[in-house]
Order: sequence, then structure tokens, then C-alpha cells
Amino acid sequence: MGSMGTEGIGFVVAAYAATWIVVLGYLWRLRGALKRARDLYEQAGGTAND
Amino acid sequence: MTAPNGISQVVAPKPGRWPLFGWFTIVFLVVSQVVAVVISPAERDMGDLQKIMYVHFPIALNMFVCYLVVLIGSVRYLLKNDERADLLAASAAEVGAMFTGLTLVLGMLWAKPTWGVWWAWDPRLTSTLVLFLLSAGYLALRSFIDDPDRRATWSAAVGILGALNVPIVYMSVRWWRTLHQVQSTPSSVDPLYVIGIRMNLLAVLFLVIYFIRRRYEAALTERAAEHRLEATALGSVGNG
Repeated sequence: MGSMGTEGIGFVVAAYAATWIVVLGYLWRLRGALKRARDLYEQAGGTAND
Repeated sequence: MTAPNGISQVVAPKPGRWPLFGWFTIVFLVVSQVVAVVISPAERDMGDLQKIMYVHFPIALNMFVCYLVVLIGSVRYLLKNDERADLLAASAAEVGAMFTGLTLVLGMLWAKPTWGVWWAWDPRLTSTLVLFLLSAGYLALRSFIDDPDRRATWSAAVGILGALNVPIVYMSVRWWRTLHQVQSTPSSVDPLYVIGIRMNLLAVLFLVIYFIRRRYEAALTERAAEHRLEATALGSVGNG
């Protein structure tokens, strides 16, 4: 296989972009899941200090 | 689910210092990626494509951690009937599915410029795809079954099946002839690459721990709320 030099830079950028989209997307999803769960818990009569 | 003494096993956990750990993890991941990309020279054959290794390999290896947690949670549920173990396994399966999907995508981004194709029905790729489909099936199964006991029992069975596939994925490059390279060792890789790989392995491990813990926290809080609502409804019926 010959040297690829900087030809593959687009693939590298795509790989890092995909990684960060997934990481940040899941962090956002987690934030929503935690908020929904806490809201439900408070509706059920629990408090954050339970 | 209720323990034999009538007290719910599930209690809403407190976040504690986990949000701080999350911020630390994100900063550490950014630093690890920057250090790895900056200090590593372009590889002789692959050039800059080698830098995909700093995301593909740590994510692929740490996805196995998710399935180990699925295995432990599933076995514990079947042995102890502990609902918390089922929720832990489900949390790890969700993170595992996401990391397995990402591993496949990153692998394809590596495969196209190096192998000339996006996908090949190679044992490593195929067994990883099977793992992804099993974890997706696990999550689909949980959404189809309403009864918590049945859901947990069936999920545990699928979770164990999925986890048993992990050694096949890992060893596939040694057991069969594959396009995918065999595992490297620190002695077979230039030290300039090893530092970046180790830092990213640790950063992604922290990320996996953080994701599973916070997803588990959300699941436990939700179940604790459901138990409270059920107890309130039963109390109303009892008093009415």
C-alpha cells in the first residue's frame, strides 16, 4: 500500500465529527432522561433529598 | 418490584459528584484527542488516516466494558431477582449499543480509504454487526414487554447471549482469516502512538462509566417514582 499522505484527512475529520456528534447527542439525551425522571419523582411526592 | 418485606428495592439516587466527573471526562477527552493528534506523526503507509485509531480503537475496546456490565447485571437479576441489576444491565446495553454502532461507523471510515470498500463481510465486522443487532434487539425487547418481571427475565437472557458474543468479536481476527488487522501490543507500536492511545482509552473508559452511571440514575429515579405512584394508588384503593 502506498502512502496516503493527507488524502485521508476528510475521513479523519468525519470520524472525529461522528464521535463528537454521538457523545454530545447522548449527553443531551441523558440530560432529558434525568430531567423527566426527576419531574416524575417529584410528581409522585418524592423530593430531591429523599 | 417489591422486596419480601414489602419495601421497594428501588430508591432514587442522588447525583453526588457525578456531574463534576462528567465535566472532567469531557475536558480529559478533548485534551487526550488533541495531544494524540498533535504529537503523533503521520504514519508511513496510512498517513493521517492513522489518527482515526485514537477514536476507533478506544471506543471499540470500551464497548466491551458495557457488555461486561450487561452480563453482570443480567446474571445478578436472574440469581437475585434484583430489579436494580436489571436497570443497570439495561443502562449499559443502551450505552453499549451506541458505542457498537459508532465503532462500526468509524471502522467504515477507516475501511473505505484503506481497503477500498465501506464494508466487507469479514468475521470481525460481521460479528460486531451481530453484537450491534443483539443490543438493538435487547432495547427493542424492553420497549415491547410491559410486565417488569417478564421484561427483566427476557432481557437478561438476551443480554447474556449478547455478552457471550464479545469473545467471538475479540478473537475473530485470530480464529479466522480477516481483512481486519490482529490486535497490536505496545511493543509493536511506536511509543509516540502509544501515549495517545492510552490517554484516549482512559478518557473513553471514563465516558463509558459516566454514561452508564447517569443512565442508571435516571432509570432508578423513574422506577422509584413508579413505585411511589403504585403505592399511592394502592393506598387510595385500600382506604376507599
